[in-house]
Amino acid sequence: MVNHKESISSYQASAIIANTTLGASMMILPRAMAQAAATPDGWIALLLMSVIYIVFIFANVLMMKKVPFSSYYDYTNEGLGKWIGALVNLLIIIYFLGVASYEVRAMSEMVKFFLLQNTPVAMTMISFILVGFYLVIGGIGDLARLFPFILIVTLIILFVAYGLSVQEFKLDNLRPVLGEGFSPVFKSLNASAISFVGIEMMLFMPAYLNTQKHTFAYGTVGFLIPAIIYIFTYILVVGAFTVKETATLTWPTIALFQSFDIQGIFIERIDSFLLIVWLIQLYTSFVGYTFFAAIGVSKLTKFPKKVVLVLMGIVIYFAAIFPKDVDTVRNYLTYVNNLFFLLFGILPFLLFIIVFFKRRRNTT
Amino acid sequence: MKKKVAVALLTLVLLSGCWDSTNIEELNMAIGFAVDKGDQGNKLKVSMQVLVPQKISQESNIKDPTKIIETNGDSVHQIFRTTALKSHRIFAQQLRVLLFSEELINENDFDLVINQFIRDNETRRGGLVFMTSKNPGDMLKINDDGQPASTTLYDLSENRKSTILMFKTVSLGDISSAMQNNVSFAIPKVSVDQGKLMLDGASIIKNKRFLTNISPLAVQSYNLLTGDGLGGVIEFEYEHSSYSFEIFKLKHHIKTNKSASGKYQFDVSVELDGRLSEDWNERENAFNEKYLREIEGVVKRRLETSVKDFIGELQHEIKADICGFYQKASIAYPKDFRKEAKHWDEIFSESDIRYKANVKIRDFGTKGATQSL
Amino acid sequence: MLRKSYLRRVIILNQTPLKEHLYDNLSVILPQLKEMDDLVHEKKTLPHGQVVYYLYIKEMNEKMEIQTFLKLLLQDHTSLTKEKLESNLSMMTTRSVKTSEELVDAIFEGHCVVLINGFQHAYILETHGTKKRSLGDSTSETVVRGPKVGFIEDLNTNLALVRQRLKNPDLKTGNMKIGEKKYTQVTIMYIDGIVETSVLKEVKKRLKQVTIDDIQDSGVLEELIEDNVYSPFPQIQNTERPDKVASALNNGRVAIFVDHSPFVLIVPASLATIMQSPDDYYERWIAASLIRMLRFTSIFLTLFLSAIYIALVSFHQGLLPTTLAISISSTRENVPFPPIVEALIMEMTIELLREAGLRLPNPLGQTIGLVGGVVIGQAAVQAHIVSSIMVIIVSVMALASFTVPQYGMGMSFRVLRFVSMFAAATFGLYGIVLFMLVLLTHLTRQKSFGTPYFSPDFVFSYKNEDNSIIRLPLKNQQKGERDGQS
Repeated sequence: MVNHKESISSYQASAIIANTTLGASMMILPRAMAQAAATPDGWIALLLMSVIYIVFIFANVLMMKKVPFSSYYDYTNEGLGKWIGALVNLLIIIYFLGVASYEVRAMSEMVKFFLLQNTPVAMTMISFILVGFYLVIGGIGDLARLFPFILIVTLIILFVAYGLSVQEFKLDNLRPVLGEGFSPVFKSLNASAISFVGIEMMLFMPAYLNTQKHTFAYGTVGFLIPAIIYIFTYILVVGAFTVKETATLTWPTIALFQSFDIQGIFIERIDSFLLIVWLIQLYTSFVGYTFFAAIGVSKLTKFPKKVVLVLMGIVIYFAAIFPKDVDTVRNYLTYVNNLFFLLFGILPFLLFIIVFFKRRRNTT
Repeated sequence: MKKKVAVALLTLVLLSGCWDSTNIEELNMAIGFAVDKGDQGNKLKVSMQVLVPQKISQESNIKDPTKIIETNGDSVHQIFRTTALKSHRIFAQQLRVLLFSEELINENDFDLVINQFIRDNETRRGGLVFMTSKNPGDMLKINDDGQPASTTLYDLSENRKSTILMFKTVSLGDISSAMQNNVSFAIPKVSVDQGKLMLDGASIIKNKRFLTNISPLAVQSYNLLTGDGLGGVIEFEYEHSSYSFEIFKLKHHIKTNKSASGKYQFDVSVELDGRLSEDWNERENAFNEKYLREIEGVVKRRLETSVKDFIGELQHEIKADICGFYQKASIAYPKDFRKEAKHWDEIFSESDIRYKANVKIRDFGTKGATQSL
Repeated sequence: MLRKSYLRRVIILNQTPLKEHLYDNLSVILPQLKEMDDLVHEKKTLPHGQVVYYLYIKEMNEKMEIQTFLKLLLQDHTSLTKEKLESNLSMMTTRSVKTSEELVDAIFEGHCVVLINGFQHAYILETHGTKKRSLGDSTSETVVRGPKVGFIEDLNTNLALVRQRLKNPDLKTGNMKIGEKKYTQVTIMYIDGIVETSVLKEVKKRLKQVTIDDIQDSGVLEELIEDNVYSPFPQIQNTERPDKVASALNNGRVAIFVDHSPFVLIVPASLATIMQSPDDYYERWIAASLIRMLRFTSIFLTLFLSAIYIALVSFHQGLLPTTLAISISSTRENVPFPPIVEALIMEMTIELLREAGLRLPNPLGQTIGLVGGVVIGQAAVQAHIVSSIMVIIVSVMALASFTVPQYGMGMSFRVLRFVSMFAAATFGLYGIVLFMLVLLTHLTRQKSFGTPYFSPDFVFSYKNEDNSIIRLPLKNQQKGERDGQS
């Protein structure tokens, strides 16, 4: 599955990052932020977060230019030695699998709630995992060819749907801006952080790219597409419902599209389109994470392809089934969030320093 | 070997059946609900207007293709399930209209009544809500030449551009938001006029309970005050003749101020653009600039008077802010509003609301004078 | 030591040299030609005593040429020497051979073989006359505007049809005989310098590996050399039109001509190239782009329309518009079957009609199509076996599947349609989405001779050959660039 025969272009890399990042949060984000902030200023928090992340990307790009590496897995090994590096890689794999199983869980919840109330969750999860694996086996080239297509289709549908939902939007629901100062904004920063996981894929891609020149460009574009979508989602949902109401809705974005009908066109209710789009986005996130996790596992253990996938499938399935209710899922998410900050917020800087000096020492 | 496993899995999937598959003709598609106070000690009585497919296929275009199912019970969900004892499962995804009776909302908190509707993943938030003074179940039975009541009401609400006497449409989601924010609001009211359904003013909900009704003329003032009017005709009398003024455009500005003593002051100014569409005055001469100005002045004064009366009524008799002034206050003075939100209605009643209207007659139709010039 | 004798034996088996004496040669050849009543073998004694023996298979040769030869021979009254004979025969196409295997091969190729007593070699007169039909329209791919001629069953004619369109000195042809017994004649055509060498190598490699001899049409060959036999999608394009082949060659692709097949294979193929029709380029670009979009919409329709109907009606009734839900509900009131069964019944009927229409002799074919479609559909609705909406849906789907330029592709979509219906019947909309994802993944992973089947510049690109949905106007490009359709 590590198919080094194919190399991907920067455009494809940004599509992979965008698709992987855009996942469950599209539907849940408005509620999480409304609950945290209690004012409609969440979009300011999102903007801030985006800026912070772009700075983070920029820093990473600089580091990658100075200390080029082919994949984060190798980087950790180089920086921390074989054993600690292996441990860190294991943590990374656990983190990836954690997010992957979260996506599976979110998918099954959504399908159970909106589409198939009576079908046992196991069926939806297993079929989803299997279909995801079918793509993972293919290798990065296939991902790279499929994802831009999916991204374009998703963007078009979202554009049309969001455009139509503007009729529900009331600007007054977003005001006053910063009515209570900046503290609500800070409170909701944390809630929004989880939505942007996926950007760390940047650190694993250099091995596959056919040119290293556009790293910053593809990282930023790959990040900005979901960021802009999230900001618009938040603005439209809160604008239509007010903050207080959004905080009480389980699936705010779907509720937005359920609250109006388009008369005169064949598809009166567009929430069906959105459900499809969201399913596909969950699928791409799942595939993205699983793919890089699989690479990690195969680097670590040198098992053959199929064994790796079967193992991961079992782990993901049980991890997705395990939480009994929504609160456990939320705690789960906090762990994942913390892992994210640790592994990809702090560690890159550490590694940079270590490897920079190591390499300098090796050349002298 | 691999292929055999795949095929086995596939057959397993297909054989295990389609859990969620239901036939469309076995569903009772409800297009309208009417919730009323229950008989015989029950809390609620829900009448459901469901579509009956059989009636449609027998070339009857005139007869009403729906039937009404009435069930009593104590909770909404219970009622739905009990209905399963009588007929097919109720399917609420096509729901368009919900009617509530004043009596019911007088005795129960509104948000509790609609609780199940909002939580249900099937009921859409876009359903329109109406209030009735009498039995809402009976209202559903009224059909308009074969069109069921729910559809009629739904269609009527689209006429907002034609009349300024109609209150804006209020959806289930809107009232859920409003009650979440704990503000007063109003819902359009339905009554029966010579056997036909009619939108007749609005009902005011305060503190989640029904308070009172306002007449269609009051709704006109409401529309002029809040700028919600989309169009329509204002009629007035002047010099013993009737006039009709058709509104094209309505622009609405509001300024919020708060004085040191904590009293709010709202300056509402409205600009009306319209057409003088009917003039019963014999000496009418719309070609005369002065005449037009005169009429504009009359309209302006009449409007201001009626709106000011309405404001007075709202502030002193009804004591509820249904016009959304709370939102303007929360935007202008967010920190203060947080404290004031709980007793906003009282603050509203004491605030100073000024209203100014500016009327401009853009044209007067194809005939401007009755007598020869 | 063993090796040497083995080699020697091989040589002997394959190359039996001819002897001087006529009857020696005949005794080697004739046993191989027993029980062939259409073989003509005649002996002629020339005026000066030499015996000439000639053999040919009757209908495969041009009689006129053999007569000419005989006349030439009989003219000479002097003793025939090699030089004289050859100067006589120089007016006709001849070859001299020294082994009897070549002689026998030549007979089967349809040439006339001449043995002369006293000569240690024999002559083959290339009087090979093939039976072929005259050039006609391409029957399976018709366009409104554009050349109408189609390939026929004769390899050389087909090659000529393409060569006439590409007077490029870099146009190369390579003949091969494939199969274990080497019965099938195949020619590869490509433009040197533009072609992808990796593809060319792969083509040659795969052709050499073919062992089956019963290749009656290029379709058989297609199955033997394609990447993935189990995929429902064809990975090799086939066409009856020379203009398609010429354009493909200009785009660096390789054409494979199979003798006796009017369908020429073009590799590598991708989804984009299969969905293109030549008249997209012969008509104006706005109209052509819209028609292409129509074609892609029709793929979507043919795959998913009845699946969506089944999913919405059985699983997610709330997603239908209310008035439509009412009318569907009322039409389904008297139908005893669930939507999936209804859909299957109608699909089967349509497939039956299509197949029957193909097999019936011409005058009946049209009538059955009409009768079947209208009458059966109408009757089924009135008998309440299916609902009228189902009939509409199924007919639209059937029509949509015929807009695909390549017939084989349309067939694969019809097959996939059943899968999507089952997916919809089991899991509703979720099943359709899963099926769509599986399909997309399969398409993306599919390769055709090394190039990806489904590429991301699917919607439009500025390179003329890649665009699939929107065709931008052709620009006069700089020399050396590829242009035109794929």
